[in-house]
Amino acid sequence: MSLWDKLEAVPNWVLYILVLLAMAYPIFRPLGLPIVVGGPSQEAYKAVDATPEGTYAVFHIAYGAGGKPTLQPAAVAMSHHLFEKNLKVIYFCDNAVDLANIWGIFDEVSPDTRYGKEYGSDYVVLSLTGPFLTQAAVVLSNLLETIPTDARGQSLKGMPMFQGYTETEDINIVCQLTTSGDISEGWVYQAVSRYERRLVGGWLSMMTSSMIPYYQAGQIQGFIDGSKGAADYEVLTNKPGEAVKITDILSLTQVVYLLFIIIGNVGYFGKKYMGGGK
Amino acid sequence: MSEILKRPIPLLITFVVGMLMVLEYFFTVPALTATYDTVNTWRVILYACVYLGTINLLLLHGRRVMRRDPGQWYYSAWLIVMIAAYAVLGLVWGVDSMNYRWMIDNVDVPLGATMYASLAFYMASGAYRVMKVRNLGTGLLLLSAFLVIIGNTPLFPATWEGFATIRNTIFDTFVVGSYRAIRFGVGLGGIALGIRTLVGLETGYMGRRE
Repeated sequence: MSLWDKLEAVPNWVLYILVLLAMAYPIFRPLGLPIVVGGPSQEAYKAVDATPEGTYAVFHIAYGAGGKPTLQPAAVAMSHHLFEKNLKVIYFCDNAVDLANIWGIFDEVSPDTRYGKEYGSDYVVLSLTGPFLTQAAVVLSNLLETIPTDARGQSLKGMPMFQGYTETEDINIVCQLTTSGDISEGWVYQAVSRYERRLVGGWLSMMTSSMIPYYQAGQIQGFIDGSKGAADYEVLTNKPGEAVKITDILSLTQVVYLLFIIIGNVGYFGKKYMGGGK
Repeated sequence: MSEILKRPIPLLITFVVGMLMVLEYFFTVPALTATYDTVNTWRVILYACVYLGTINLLLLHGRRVMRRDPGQWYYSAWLIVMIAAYAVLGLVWGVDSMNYRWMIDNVDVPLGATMYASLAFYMASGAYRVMKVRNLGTGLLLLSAFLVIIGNTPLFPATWEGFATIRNTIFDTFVVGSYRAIRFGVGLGGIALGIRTLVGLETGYMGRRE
């Protein structure tokens, strides 16, 4: 076997060990690489920042268990920002896993002790059932009449935060973090096209290419692009957390990818032009 | 009578509801908007079908366990045990209880994270073996992929911001252009399908007909 053959046929186990090492090393020895905040993250931050105090923000959590490592840090950072801005936040989800994710956000953000917020007066959690587009329409148009209680079974109409509440005027911004293409696009249809609200999104990086046309068209004000976007938002809110730690892992792992793409091509061309390959 | 129930009435309901949705989008009539919102919320009722799905799942896997299907029955049994465990936890303590959250945090989250994390290894292997400059097309693909990966890797834009600019330029031009074309195609297809459904030419949603 020639050198070129060897370069083209590195066994998977070698590759996997190197990827594993690239993931593990920064956990024990953080590199502390600087983070250059991306434009979409900055725009998302500005959109939340420009929301008038006392108005309502809808925050949809829809990333389940699989998307939690990527998007939960973004949800935590964005929640810090929403509470700092004194917005009344309507969290909502449609399954038990995301409900647990929302309680997990509160464990980290501590809205009650850190920001003096009170459940029912400043924020609430809804657990809805039904097709997503209907849920979005209900939350934005007919919330109190359609959904009698929150996730804990408490009456919404009896809560201080909903006294004098009118959906058509009070909800100023919709924030959504999801691993679903249908949901991220569905919010554009409902929140922007139908109910004319401002929309901030967040999703896995692999979804960005399909969502960026909506951002360019101004339908999405800004977005969080996977782990890097979450790290950006943590930097912007000055609350470095899990996403900033992940940044080092992302960098080293992708360097391994790039190196192996180069090695594979060197082997391919070496064999083709010098090793008698076909 | 049964023939009327099977075809004309569903077609009529589809036409009326479909036209309501279309007209409400184009005209600002308060009565139309109110009817639209009401009909829109009715769809929540349809979600009750998920319970039928659960019953169907239990029947299917229950039969496998009863028959002791080789190589399968213990997976089916485990599925039933887990459905029962989640149901009991949720019904007895509630889905916002610490017990339920413990299950979510220690079963669902690690399993979901493991599935996504394993992609990192497959992607590394796939990129190494497939992304080779075999001709002009694959060369262009590799070049754009390489530049996007570099722009996405926090290390590189931290050393030179131009990497992020190059990546963004690729997204803002080639990617957006391509996706817009796809969107237009999907949109036109959706409109055609919608019109065919409204006028009763597309009846697949009523189920397979003998």
